[in-house]
Amino acid sequence: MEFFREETNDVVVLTVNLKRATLVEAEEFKQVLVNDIQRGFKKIVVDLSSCEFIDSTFLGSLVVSLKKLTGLGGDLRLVGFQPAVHSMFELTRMYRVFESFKSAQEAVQSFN
Amino acid sequence: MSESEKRSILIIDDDKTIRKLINHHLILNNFIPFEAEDPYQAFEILKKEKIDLVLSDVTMEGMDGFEFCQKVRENENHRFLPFIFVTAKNTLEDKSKAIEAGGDDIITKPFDIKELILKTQALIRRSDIYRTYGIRKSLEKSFDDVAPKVLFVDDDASMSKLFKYNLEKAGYDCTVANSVDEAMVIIKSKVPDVIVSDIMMPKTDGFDFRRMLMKMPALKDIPFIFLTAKGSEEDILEGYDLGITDYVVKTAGPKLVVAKVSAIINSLGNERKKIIAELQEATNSLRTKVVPDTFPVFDGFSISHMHIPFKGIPGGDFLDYYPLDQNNLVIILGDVMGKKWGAWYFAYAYAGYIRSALRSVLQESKEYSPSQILQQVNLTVYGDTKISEVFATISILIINNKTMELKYSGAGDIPIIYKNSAGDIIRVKSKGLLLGFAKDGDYEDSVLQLKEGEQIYLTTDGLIDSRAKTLESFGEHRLYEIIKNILPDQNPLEVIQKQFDDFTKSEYDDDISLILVKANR
Repeated sequence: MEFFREETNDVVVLTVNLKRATLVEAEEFKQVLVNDIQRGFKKIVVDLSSCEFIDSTFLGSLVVSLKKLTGLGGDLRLVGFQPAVHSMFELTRMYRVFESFKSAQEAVQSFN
Repeated sequence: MSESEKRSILIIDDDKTIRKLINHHLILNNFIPFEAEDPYQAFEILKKEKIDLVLSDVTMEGMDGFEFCQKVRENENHRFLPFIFVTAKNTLEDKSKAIEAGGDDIITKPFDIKELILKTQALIRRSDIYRTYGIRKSLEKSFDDVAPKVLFVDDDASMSKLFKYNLEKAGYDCTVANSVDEAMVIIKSKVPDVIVSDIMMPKTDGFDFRRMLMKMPALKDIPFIFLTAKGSEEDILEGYDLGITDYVVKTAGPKLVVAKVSAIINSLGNERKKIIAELQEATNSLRTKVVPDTFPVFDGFSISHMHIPFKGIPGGDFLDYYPLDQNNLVIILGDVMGKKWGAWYFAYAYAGYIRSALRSVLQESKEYSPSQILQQVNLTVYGDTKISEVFATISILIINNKTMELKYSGAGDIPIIYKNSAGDIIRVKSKGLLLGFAKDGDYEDSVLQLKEGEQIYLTTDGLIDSRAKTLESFGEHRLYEIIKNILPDQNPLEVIQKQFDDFTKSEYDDDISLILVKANR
């Protein structure tokens, strides 16, 4: 399973089980997120702790979903930045729009 | 802008003052307006002229705007014609009626002329994208049809059966025709990838069949193999004179025919080449371009760039140069996020969209601030809900050859690299958000005072993220080191490309773009 999905109350936690999250998986991942958004979930946590690298396309799928969610009054929060992933978010200034946390639990709790 | 590039807009309003007002501003913005005072006149104009967008009033005598729009949509040619209602009606009910009738947008009176122009420009650009995107979809579909199609023409039924069996076994979709007449009917409904035809047939023979096809531009390039019991030299020569692809003697058996068909399919199998050719054609027709052919000539600076599209497919990255006046030149480098096999075509169209959105901001701009230009384009992109899922990074520079000042602003871009006169590498970061993400992108300008010989490099993530076989990324620091060590007599772009090729073994992961700006005084 590349994407592991878990529901805690009204929060969905998606864990990305990929060392390199790239354009190869981006479309499918976006679909997973879109499905949840369409089903009415507005609070989503994405756990990236397994990812050593994400490319701009994969980042794009997170950005699209964040834009959708914030439009609906929801949010998408992130967990587990490894150094290269962190620098990707920094480089694109996306760390300014995503809230990030140390653990999935913390992120889930932040919604309440 | 040449006359042929201008778009035609049809204005329908019973109020002459409003028509004249809109007319005047459309002309100012390089559109060609047509006026109608009622829907009946409008239909006449739609019949005669190629209209690119309709601006229609709602309340009119005889037939109202909603009904008019529905009638327009009934015509197949106008089903996707961009249609904007300009109306004093402003209730939710009116809005939903407008959408139901097939309108694309609604502008309420009293209207802001600037808004009207912006919406008109945005809608035209968007319909351009969808038009090309639609072509791409149908292209993709035609290539998704797994098996290549072979048309086999022979009057001998047992022969046809034998070859059909062998071709199908080899994975081809084989259709049989037992005469040239029948073949001509089949070709029209199902265009084959390869035609295999007997020569000796009653009524019309294979040579005449070939001659018929040669006269039809759409069919003459389909690979054509003659198959015959004859093996005499004259026959073969006559066949080649007719521009056939190959010639097989029947007695050689079906295996050889299958092998020849396969060889031809593989050589054409270049689906990508075909798609790219179509793409080039489609985008040429759109007049969008993502990278200029030449470097700009701008006194006081030398500007050059390197652009290598991923797998030869244009898309993703885009570059532009635009003179604001004699002393100020705008330099733009952008990257549409998410170029990949499934969406590269869209990325291309989108890159063209941003590039033209930038151009329309620049055309009206008396603004010499990159951040303000960025913010205006950001607003256009952000407000265009139909493309809300695409984002782009952009770096914008404005260089002035009087003051030798450089202003820079960026949207989610890779920091620009400044090599100063002491040879130090300075990374200049911008702070703005990705284009189209938020209403206010929070852009700001950085200003550098350049001295003679100083250099500025702009790049996108393709160069930085590309990896060696060892999976190690090229990275920003490697690039800085290379730039730092470039000698004055070397061509920087060549040096960088060489080292990059050595590192990646010339296998790129993405578009590679690099712009170099050098101050000459």
